[in-house]
Amino acid sequence: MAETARDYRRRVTALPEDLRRGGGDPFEVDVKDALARLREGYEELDGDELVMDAMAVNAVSQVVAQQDEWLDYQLSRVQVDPALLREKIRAMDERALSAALRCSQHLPAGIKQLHSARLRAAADYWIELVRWGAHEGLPAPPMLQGETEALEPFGDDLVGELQAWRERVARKLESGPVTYEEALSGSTGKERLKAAYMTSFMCASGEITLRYDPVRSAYVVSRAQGVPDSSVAIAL
Amino acid sequence: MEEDEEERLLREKARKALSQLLVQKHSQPGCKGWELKKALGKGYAGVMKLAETQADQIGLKLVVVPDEEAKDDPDRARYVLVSKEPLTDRDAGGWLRMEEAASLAIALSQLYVKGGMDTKKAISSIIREKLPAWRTDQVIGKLVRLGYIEEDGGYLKVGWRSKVEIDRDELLTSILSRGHVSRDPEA
Repeated sequence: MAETARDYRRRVTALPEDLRRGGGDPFEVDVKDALARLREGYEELDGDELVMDAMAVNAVSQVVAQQDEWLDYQLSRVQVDPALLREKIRAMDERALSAALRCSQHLPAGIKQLHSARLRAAADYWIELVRWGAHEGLPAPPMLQGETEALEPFGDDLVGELQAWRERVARKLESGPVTYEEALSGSTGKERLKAAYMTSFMCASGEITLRYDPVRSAYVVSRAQGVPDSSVAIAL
Repeated sequence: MEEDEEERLLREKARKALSQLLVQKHSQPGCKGWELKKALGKGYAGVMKLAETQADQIGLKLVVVPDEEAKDDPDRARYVLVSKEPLTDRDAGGWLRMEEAASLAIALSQLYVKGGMDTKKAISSIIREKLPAWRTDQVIGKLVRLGYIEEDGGYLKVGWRSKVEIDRDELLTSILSRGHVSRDPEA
């Protein structure tokens, strides 16, 4: 094969890469002419010349593929005049614009579901959830088991009973904070419920403070400190 | 016989692919290419072609949204099934009020002609021609929250949800050819 024919095949083989790098228009390559020139003297080729020819033909097919890609790219960039679009938007009211969107909106299909294992895990989490506002690691107030007590009406002497309880607690706090149990004087049943109620009333009105003492590992009652609690749970 | 078995396996995988795409496991619909690869194997791209045909038979089409950072990586792309036909039901897509849908149409059309990104100021100024300033900010905030628009500094971009739900060419054609508007499902 003549050297010019070899050169031509080398140049054709390099074409796709040149187009890719240079970003040229693949339609500038005359594919029909290139194939016709490659066919010239084909019968005389042998050995590595046949390989060179096959590579050149493959390169031509790549150029055809690039022409396809180029067309797709150009079509995807259908030019829209921004000024015209702006004018159209100005002329359309909200209803028309919203309709234009709806005409082009394809909703995603999806099924939201909750797996039973997930539901079980959620239930476990909920059960183990620390009470709202409680500190992790703090002992929960002992739960009353077996018997229940109802708080009886104080009658006409509510103020008197509360005053008597105030004085009793004040005497206990003279020598410093005391545990909640000590404040309740170890009472039981209805008496304990009434004492707890009046203690929580004093806490909420800012007369005393109920705090957890990590040293004693117990709740302690002390003289009023800081802002009174807005509400106090009655621990029995 | 062997061919039948292969065909059966392929159909089974295609069904599995459809169920993977339909059952929503995350906050976003559909699933990522790597999830499909895990469920269907390396040749999942071939399975997806059959799944696409099966979806077409029930009025759905497969949309592939490339990942912003790896546009050529099919494993990182998001595969979503969407309705083949646009919305016709007045109640569907009811999470957007009329002025919000109109604002989205304005924002997206501007973003499409500006190559996918524009300043928030520029988009806001066009929406403000239709809505008061306070409402414009509110609506843009909502569209960003819903994923229709993405906010990046002072710029707005087309969000993942718009890439899935909105057909760019259909929207631009709808706006440019006002005739389309006569088929208004809300009218």
